[in-house]
Amino acid sequence: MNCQEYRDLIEDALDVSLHGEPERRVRLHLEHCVSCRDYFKLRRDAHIALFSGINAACEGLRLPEGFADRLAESIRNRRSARRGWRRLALPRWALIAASVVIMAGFVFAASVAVEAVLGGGDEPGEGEGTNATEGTEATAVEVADAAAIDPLVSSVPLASSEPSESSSPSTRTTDPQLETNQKGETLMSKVKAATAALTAAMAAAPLAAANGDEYQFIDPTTYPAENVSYSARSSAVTVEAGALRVASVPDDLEARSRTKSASAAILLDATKFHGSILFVL
Amino acid sequence: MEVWEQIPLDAEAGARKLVAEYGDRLFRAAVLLCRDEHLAEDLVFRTFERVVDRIGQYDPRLPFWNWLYTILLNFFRMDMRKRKAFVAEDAALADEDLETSGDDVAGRLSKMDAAAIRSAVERLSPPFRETVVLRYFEDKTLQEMASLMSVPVGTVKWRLHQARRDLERTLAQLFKEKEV
Repeated sequence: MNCQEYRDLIEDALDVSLHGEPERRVRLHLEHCVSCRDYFKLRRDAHIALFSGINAACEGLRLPEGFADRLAESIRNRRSARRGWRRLALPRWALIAASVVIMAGFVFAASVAVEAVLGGGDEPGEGEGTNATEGTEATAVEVADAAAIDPLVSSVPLASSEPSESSSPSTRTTDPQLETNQKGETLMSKVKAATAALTAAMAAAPLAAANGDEYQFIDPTTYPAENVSYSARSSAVTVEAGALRVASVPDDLEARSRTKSASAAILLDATKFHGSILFVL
Repeated sequence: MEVWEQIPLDAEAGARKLVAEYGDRLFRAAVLLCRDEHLAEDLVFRTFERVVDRIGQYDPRLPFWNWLYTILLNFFRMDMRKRKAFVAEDAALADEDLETSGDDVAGRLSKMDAAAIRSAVERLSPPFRETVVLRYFEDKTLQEMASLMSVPVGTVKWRLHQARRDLERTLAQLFKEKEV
C-alpha cells in the first residue's frame, strides 16, 4: 500500500472507527511515516473543527417566541376543520359501538345459518342462512341482509333531533320472525342500541347538507388516522335534494378492508342517515 | 409521559411538548439545511404538524428523533425539488474549481469563526449539506446517515468526501478574503 491508499483509509478511520486488520495497518504505517502522521493530525483537527464549528455556528439559534402557540393554534384549527360540516363526523364511540354490534350481528347470522342447516330448515330462516354463508366471502351488505340488520337502514330524517323519530324506525322495520326468536330479540336490541347511538350522534351534530357536497366513508378500523387521505379518494357519497346519498362504493373499500383482520366499514348514508351498514369481511 | 404518548391524548399539549423538547434542535438542523431562518421555521412548523397528524404511524421501538428528522428531511427535499435546485446546485458545485487546496485549510479550520463555517455549510449543495449536517451536527454514523437519507453507505461516503472538499475550499476562500 502506498501513502495515498493509507490516506484514504485515514479518512475512513475518521468517519467510521476502523477495526481489525485495517486499523492495525494504519496504526503501523503512522508509526513509521511522518508525512502521513502529519496528514492524520491535520485531518483529525479538521474534523474536530467542523464538529465544534458547525455546532457553535447554530448554538444561539432558537425558535422564535410564540412558535408553540402558533403550532397549537394551527393544530386546533386543523382538527376543528376536519370535524367541520364537510365531514360526516361521528363520535368515535358511536362508530366503535356500531361496529361491535354489526360484528355481533354477523356472528348471530352465522349461527342462524348453522341452525337452519342443522335443524333441517324448519324455520323460514333457511334462506337467510344461505345468504349468511355466502356473506363470508362476499360483501357484507348480504350479511347485513341475512342477519336482518336492515333495520339500521331506517328512515332517520337528516339532522333530526327528535328522539321519538330516531327510535321508531328500528321498531317499524323489525323483522317479526326475529322478534319472536329469543336470539333475534337479543340481536334486535343490539341493533336498536346501535341505531339509537348513531341517531343520537346525528342529532348532536346535524348535517347541513347542500347539493354538491361530498361526504365520506368512515372506516372505524382506521378512523381517524387514515381517514382523510382515504376519503379524499372516495367521493361516493353525494348530496341530492338536501340529503346524503350513496352513489357507489369505492373500488378499494373491500380490498382495503380485507387486509384488516376484524374489519367493519360503516358506510354512512345519511339520506335517511341510515347508514347502510356495509359489513366487509 | 413521552411526547408520542401524549399527542394522541391531547394534540395541543403534545405539540407544545414537541416544541419544548425538540424544537430548537430541529430548528438548528433546519437552518443549516435551508440557510434561512424563516424557511427553517416554516420547515419545523410543517414537520411538527405532520408529526401530530401521523403520530399513529410512529413505531416507539425506533428513535423518535430519527423519525422527526426523516420527516424534516423529506419536507426539505420536497421544497428543494419544487425549486428545482437539488440537482442543478449539485452539478454546479461539483464543477466549481477553487484554487486553494483543501489540505492547506484543514489546519487553519479551528481558527475560523463559527459564522464562516456556517456560511461555508450554507454554500454547499443541498445533498452535501444534508450529509454534513447529519455527520457534524447530528453526529450520525455512516450507517445511520445512509438509513436517514435513504441512500447506500457508499453514496454517503462519497458525498461526505465531496462535501468536505467543497467545505474546505470555501473556507479557504473565505479565509483568504478575510486576510485580504
